[in-house]
Amino acid sequence: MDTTAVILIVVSLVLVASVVGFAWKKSQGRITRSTPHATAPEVPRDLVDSHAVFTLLQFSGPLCSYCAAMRTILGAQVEKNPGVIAHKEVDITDYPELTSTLRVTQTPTTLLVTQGGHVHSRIRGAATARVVGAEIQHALEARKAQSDGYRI
Amino acid sequence: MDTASKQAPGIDPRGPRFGATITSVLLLVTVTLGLGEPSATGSVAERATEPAFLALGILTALFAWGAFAGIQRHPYGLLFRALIKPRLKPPTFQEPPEPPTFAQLVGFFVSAAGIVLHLVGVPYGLVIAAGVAFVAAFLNAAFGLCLGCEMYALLVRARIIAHKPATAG
Repeated sequence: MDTTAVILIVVSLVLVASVVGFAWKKSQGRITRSTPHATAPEVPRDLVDSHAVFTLLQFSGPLCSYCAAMRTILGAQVEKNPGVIAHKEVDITDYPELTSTLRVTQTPTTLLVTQGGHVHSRIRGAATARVVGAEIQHALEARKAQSDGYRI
Repeated sequence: MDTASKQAPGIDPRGPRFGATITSVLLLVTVTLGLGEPSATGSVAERATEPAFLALGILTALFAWGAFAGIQRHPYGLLFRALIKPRLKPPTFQEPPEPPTFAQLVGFFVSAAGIVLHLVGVPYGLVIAAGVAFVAAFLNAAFGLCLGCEMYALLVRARIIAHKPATAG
């Protein structure tokens, strides 16, 4: 095989691997918000902190390396928002039924859960502190707007 | 390693990533060498002395080392602890050693498949195996995505393999 072809193949191998890597990186910490129409609470009561406005419910696996990183990030949010945000971490292997009912397909998955047990948003994979903080702010503002709406 | 706690002591996640960086460079060299001689012609002895074959042979042995002795005892792990770790800040989190050790086993099977295919005389067998292993090692080195570790976590969760934390006694 001539040198040009070899270089082309080697370079495209690196490029393809990079594309896969960037796609994965982009999928990490992606946030999806739930439409607030569900009537029955989706999250079991014992997994929600009844004293906090929102609970960061983290699903971890026994061998997930980024779960520990996420634990630190979510713990810092609790310290930043005392009494408002709570953090609960559960091992998904202890709650296998929730993988289907709450559609937890990867660890870590973090659900931002309202006091009433509704999922406000879901964070797939590891997210940065900035992304988590912004989502909490959004959730608190949305809640405030909603209660203002009731008042009017 | 003899703690009685539920969780075995973790390792610095940057250690396996450092090893994956060296591995991915060596694998890319192997792919380049292999592409020069991809058709796997000549006698078995000739094929077994080609540079690409020797390179992948060394990598297969290194994967076996990591897979069977454990990722902490791998030469790259020792190199990381001696040279790199003292220059870094302490890790923000630790990870269990079993998933990266399993990832080494996957790497071992992939590279061993390349070795066998080349000896049997399958054209491009060595190059494709080295290429697949390169993509996995590169994703770990550059992005922190360890495919073998994900595979291990999935297999444990599906209860196909039992998780045995590295505890003595």
